[in-house]
Amino acid sequence: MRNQSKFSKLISIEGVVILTAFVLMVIFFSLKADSFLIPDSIRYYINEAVPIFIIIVGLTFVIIAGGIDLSIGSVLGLSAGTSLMVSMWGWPFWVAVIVGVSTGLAFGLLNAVIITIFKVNDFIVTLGTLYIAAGSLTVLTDKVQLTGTEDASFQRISDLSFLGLTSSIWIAIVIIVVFELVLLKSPFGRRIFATGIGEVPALISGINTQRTKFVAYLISGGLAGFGGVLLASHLNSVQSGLAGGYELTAIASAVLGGISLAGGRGSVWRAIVGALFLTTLNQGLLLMGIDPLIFQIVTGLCILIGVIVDRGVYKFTLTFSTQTREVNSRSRDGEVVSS
Amino acid sequence: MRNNSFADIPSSKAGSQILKMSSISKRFQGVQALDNVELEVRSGEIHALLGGNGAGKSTLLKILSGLALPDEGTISFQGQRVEIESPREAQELGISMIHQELSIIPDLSILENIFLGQERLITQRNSWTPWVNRREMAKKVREVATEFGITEVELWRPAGEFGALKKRSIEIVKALVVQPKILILDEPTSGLEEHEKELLFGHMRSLQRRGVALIWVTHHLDEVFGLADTATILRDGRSVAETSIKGKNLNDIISLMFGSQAAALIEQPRIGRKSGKTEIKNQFKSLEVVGFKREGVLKDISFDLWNGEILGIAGLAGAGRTELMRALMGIDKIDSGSINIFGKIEKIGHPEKAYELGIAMVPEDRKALGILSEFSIERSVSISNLVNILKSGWLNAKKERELASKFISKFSIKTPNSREKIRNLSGGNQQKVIISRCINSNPRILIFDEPTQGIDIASKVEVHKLIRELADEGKSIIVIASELNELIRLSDRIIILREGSIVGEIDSVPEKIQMNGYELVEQDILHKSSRVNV
Repeated sequence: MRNQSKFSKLISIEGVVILTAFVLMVIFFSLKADSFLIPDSIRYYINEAVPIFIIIVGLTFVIIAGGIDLSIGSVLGLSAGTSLMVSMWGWPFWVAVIVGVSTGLAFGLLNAVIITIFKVNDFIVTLGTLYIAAGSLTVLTDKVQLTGTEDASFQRISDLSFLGLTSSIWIAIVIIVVFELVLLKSPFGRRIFATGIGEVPALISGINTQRTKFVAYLISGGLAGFGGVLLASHLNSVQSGLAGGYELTAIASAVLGGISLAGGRGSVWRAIVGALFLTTLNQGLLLMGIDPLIFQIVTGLCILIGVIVDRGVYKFTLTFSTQTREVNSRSRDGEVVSS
Repeated sequence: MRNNSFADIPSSKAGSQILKMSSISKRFQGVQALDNVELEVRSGEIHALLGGNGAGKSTLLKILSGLALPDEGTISFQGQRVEIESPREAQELGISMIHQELSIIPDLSILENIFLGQERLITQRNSWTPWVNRREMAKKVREVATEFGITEVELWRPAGEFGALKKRSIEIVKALVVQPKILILDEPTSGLEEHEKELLFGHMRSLQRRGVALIWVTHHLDEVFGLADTATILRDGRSVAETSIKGKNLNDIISLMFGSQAAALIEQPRIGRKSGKTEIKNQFKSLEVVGFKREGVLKDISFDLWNGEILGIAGLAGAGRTELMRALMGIDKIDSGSINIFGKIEKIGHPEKAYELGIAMVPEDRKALGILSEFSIERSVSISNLVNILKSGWLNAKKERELASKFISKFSIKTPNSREKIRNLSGGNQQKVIISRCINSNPRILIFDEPTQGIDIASKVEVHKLIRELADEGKSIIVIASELNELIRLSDRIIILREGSIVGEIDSVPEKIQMNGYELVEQDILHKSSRVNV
């Protein structure tokens, strides 16, 4: 009994399960694949994943507020297109940044207005804007060849090296830290949680839930725009279909990190650990020489297992929290999880 | 189950023992929830199960209905030792439960609701067809349904169209389909109007006549008299007494339930406070509601509120009480009308604005509207006024903990620590947390909508005391309570709503009770709130 309550305390610490899984995976791959722990290779694949990390931050806000944003992937792609285009026109790099971010903000605003003011289902609205953004990029790349800018300062946004890491990675770290602080330590962040737990009780306790959601969608859009700028700067070329499907990777990462799609539960770093897990998994499989054709299957399995374990842990901690008298017959003695 | 119609349950010999639970003990994570509890039920009796929050009623019922296993103790049913390991086993023995939260699916017809999950009772008869035969279903329940006030036509209507009483009836008929010998009713009168309660009590008597033993859990002790035969009283997980109800009065029961603490539960009326229109020193209007209109709900409502007074709002369900409060809080939009608050004309378009102006609300339906279930006590208390816990612009965990601790000790909220999630608290303690949340927003006007819904009598008295103290501090209080008794005893002044209009007002309520007696005041209100429009 004693051990069990210690155990339940340990696993009820937020994010412990995914973090443990991540560490185990790293150990596994470093034993199985020789080149896995080489700093250069780590730096490389993390650098490639930066745009995803950045949209996950915004997505976390939206999901915790009880919503969903499917448009982030294709908005990121479109923003990459618009910023690169402006840079190719010969405008200074900061104008390109502003244009890219504004593209994202515009889509965030569109989502926010339709969802919070016209009260349309968030899934459908962002599915719609996903198509609009993806289609716009197709039209744009059809009209203009976005094959690269001459402006070196635009490219340096992402590829400067500082203390051994690229500026992309540094920017991502700053964004993660700042937005995590906002989420966990600011009144606005607290309202995000309250809104996601229950819109009606939150409203009755005096929170402007609409405005809270509105801002969450703006953040999501704006960060997708900024992620697009970084991607454009890094690739220095944009084609139709760029970053399509990023939203699914982002959602999968968030869910793996234990962020409840029902809202009200999670944090930025947990979603990031989820993303690190998925990217590292991919890298590890690659280095082990496993057929890339089965990567998606493995990824899918990991998501399923992760979610089932997370669910089990959540129920387990519910059952064994000090006060709860709820006894459901299945986890009566905790056999579901602890065995 | 082979009977063609289950309307004719063979009535078992009244008075013979049907259930005996002996020396039941159960521990949860180091907490002794039940300690050697005894429960003996005879067929055809109405057996009240009484006790404060945390006394162990729900744990005992969980064990009886197969949701939990006892650590120690035995259960015998009709003289035979049984182990009840799942709800299905309980049902097969003949033990059914009607939960406090109704499990009715609004889009299905009453008939479909009655047979929900029990379709096998129909299909086994004509097993060559896998789908349910509605005519067969209707034939089976027609007679019983009529007895419990559901007409044949209503059987085919969606259940969502009907009110709380009919939903209880649906649950009763649904429970009868499996021919229970014991029926557990958990707070069956919650959400019912006074006259509906009488009808429900009639239903309970006809269940009794059928030989069904009823185990009845209620916080409304006054309901027990004249209806229940026996009561088992639990206190702190122990059975204190099994007693016949005859010859007992409310105070006897209360002292059994709460022991030595019972004396503190007798409420003193607030006499001597002048209320209403008589303007006296230190009294001022804190709120003036002018011409609130909302199509089909509120018809030109105007009233005043003074500082330091408790204004009760009476009326039947559908009279517009809650709707008026929602409009005042800015939750629902109104077509026209304004408020004059502390001398300033304002429009409230959003609850956020209401809080800014110093109006806070403790809503009805705590589970759905009150608590933010995932929040800890700390977060639940601070959420309506986060400015209070800021330190150089950021939320400060220490300040937040101190704030919560202050309220936990001030209102004696029972919890292991301030980080416990609010959903794990008992109803009374949840309500205290929500009241703390409102008070933390420094309101000048506090609205309580059904403040004691579903909480035990001890917590109820505490909440009442709290409301009176707030009024004594000079805050203006508006109270809505379906239970007229509660409303009359709590209020200084009462306005009566009917069909969205104010139809009467009673000043200086405590004085009137003292002069004319409680009954006269109650009759006055009942008369005004239910008079039929010509």
